This record gives sequence, C-alpha cells and structure tokens, in this order.
Amino acid sequence: MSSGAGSTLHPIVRDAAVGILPDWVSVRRKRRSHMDRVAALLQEWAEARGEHPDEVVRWRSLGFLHDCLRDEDPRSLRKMLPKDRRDFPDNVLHGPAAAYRLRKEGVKDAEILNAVAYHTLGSPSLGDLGLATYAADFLDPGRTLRKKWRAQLREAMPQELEPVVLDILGARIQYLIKDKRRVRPETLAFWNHMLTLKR
Amino acid sequence: MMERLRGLAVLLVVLATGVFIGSAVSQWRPLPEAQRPDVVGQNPVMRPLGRVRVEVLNAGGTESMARRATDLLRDSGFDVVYFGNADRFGDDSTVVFDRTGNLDAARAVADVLGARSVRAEPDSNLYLDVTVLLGREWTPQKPEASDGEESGPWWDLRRLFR
Repeated sequence: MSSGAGSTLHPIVRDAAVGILPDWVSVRRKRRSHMDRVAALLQEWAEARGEHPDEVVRWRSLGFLHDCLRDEDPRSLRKMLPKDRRDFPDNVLHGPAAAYRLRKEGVKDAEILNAVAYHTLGSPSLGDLGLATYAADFLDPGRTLRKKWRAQLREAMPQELEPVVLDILGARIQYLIKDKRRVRPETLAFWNHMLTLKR
Repeated sequence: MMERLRGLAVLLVVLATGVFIGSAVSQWRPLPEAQRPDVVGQNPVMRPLGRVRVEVLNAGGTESMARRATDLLRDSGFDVVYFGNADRFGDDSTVVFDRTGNLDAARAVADVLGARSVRAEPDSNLYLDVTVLLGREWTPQKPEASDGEESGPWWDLRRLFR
C-alpha cells in the first residue's frame, strides 16, 4: 500500500489546495495571481501523471504554500528561523521561513516542507513534487521574460520533468554568474545532482 | 645485429600498442546478460510494492551519509522524497521505520541498505511509507565479488593497475 491512500492531509495543506491560506499569511493581489497560476500548472501536471486524487491535492497546495511568506519583511522572516539557518539572502528567505512556520503549525509532510523550503534555491533532496514546484514557479505563464522559451518548457512537462528542471537551473546559474552574484552551495549541489540524473 | 634489435624493438612497440588499443576498445563491449544492472522499472522487488515513499535521515553524523543512502535507494527504484539530518546525531545503528502498516516496504528498504532493524511506527501525517534513520555504522553495501572470476579480458592492461 502506498502512502497515497490512507494518509492524512493536514488541514492547512487541504485548504491551501483550494486557495484558503492560514491567517498568518498576507499576500498582495499580484502574488495571489501567481499562486493561482502555479497551482493550476501543478494540478495539470499531477493529473497528466495519473496521480491519485489526494496526490493532486498535495501538488496543487504547493502552488499556494510555496510563496505564502513571499511578501513579508525579510527581517521578520530571518527572526523566525533558527540561528544556524539565518544566512540565506533576503530574496530566498521566504521558502525556508514558510517551511519552518508550516512545521510549527503541525504540517509533518516532509516532501511538502522540503519543496516549500527549496523551491527557489533547489536541492538534491527534492523528489518529483519538489522538482515540479521548482519548475512551476519559474514557468508561471504570467512571467514576461523569455515567454517563448518558457512556453516550450511547459509543453515538455510533465514527461520531461528532469531535463526541464536542468534547463531552468542552468539558465538561473548562468544569470547569477553573468551578474557576478554568489551561487549558493545548495544550488550548486542541485546542479551536480541533476547532471547525474541526466546520465 | 643492430637491425635485428631494431626489428625486435619495433615488434614490441606494435604489440604493446595493440594491447593498449584492445584494452581501450574492450570497455565498449556490452556486458553479458547476467551482469547487466537491473533497470529500475523491471526491478522484481519493487513491482508488487508499487511506489514507496522514503525519507532518509542522517542520525550518525557522518557527512554525506544521507545523500549516499538516497542515491542507493533511488537507483533501486524507491521514491526518496526527502533526505537530511535527523534531529540529533549519535546513533550507532540504522533503523528503518514502517509508517503505513506495511512492513514489506520497510523490509525492502532495509534489504537495500543492509539494515537489520525494522520497526512499525505508523504515522499517517508524515505522508510517507518509510523513514530511515542512518546510524554511524552504516556504509553502502559493496557489490558481491565474483568467485574466482577475472574481470575483463586477460590482455587488458588496466587489470594490472586495479
């Protein structure tokens, strides 16, 4: 028996799948629209994979949970994290902070927490749901840069999950290098890990 | 005399080159059927179990331990959905926990890792089938050595350097 049937979805996860977020979440309208589109992508991919209905709910919930603290002040996000986890840059703090808060609220689903924590940085620990969240966040049809390329990558999903993630990851790392910005060790480890999958 | 020696030297160089090229070419020869690694989808252990979700936690404290175990499990067809550190280090032995009341899945994971301890601690909130707590003693299992069988052709020079 797989953990799909018979496992219990936390109420926060179940509510998030239909766009209902906890009262400690406050997001701007633009962010909300992004969440709607990412949730729709994840639902589409989960259904195309033939996932169990509970699994589709989990995939969809990530659309709303992944950015639930995106619009919060980085200073307050940093304070939420344990002292040894506060070295993330401002623009990626919202992932780990949201995962930490969800855990405190009783969500024990490690795959969801991990996907939320690392949806921007990436991590070798991501399973398929984490990879799909990473891809869906980037491939949001509402994003304006390189629309044709993003559309091509969306076309290849969900069958080509790993190659699509590798393409996205490569583009992001190249951008950081071009802009002379630091590449986090999680992201580099993610790149090396994804290359071994390509083998 | 000199001509003979020169001829002998040329012959030796040609022979050595031939052996070197032959050993290089031999790496592209397909393995006999019996030695080919199992394709994950055809893994006879996994088929009846279906998809098995696993989290791997390093409780022994050795660096990269969880990652290595994850690679081993994923190569064997298990769906490792998370790996990382346990809440605390210091455990010596590895324990595999069944989280859904299906000990078969936990035992299959334990077999791959070479772990002896399997316990049933179902928890439907985790949305997992199996949790692995890796102890300090855990090392990846090495492939079994074949008895008395040499690997590669006799003239493969690389054997001398293994």
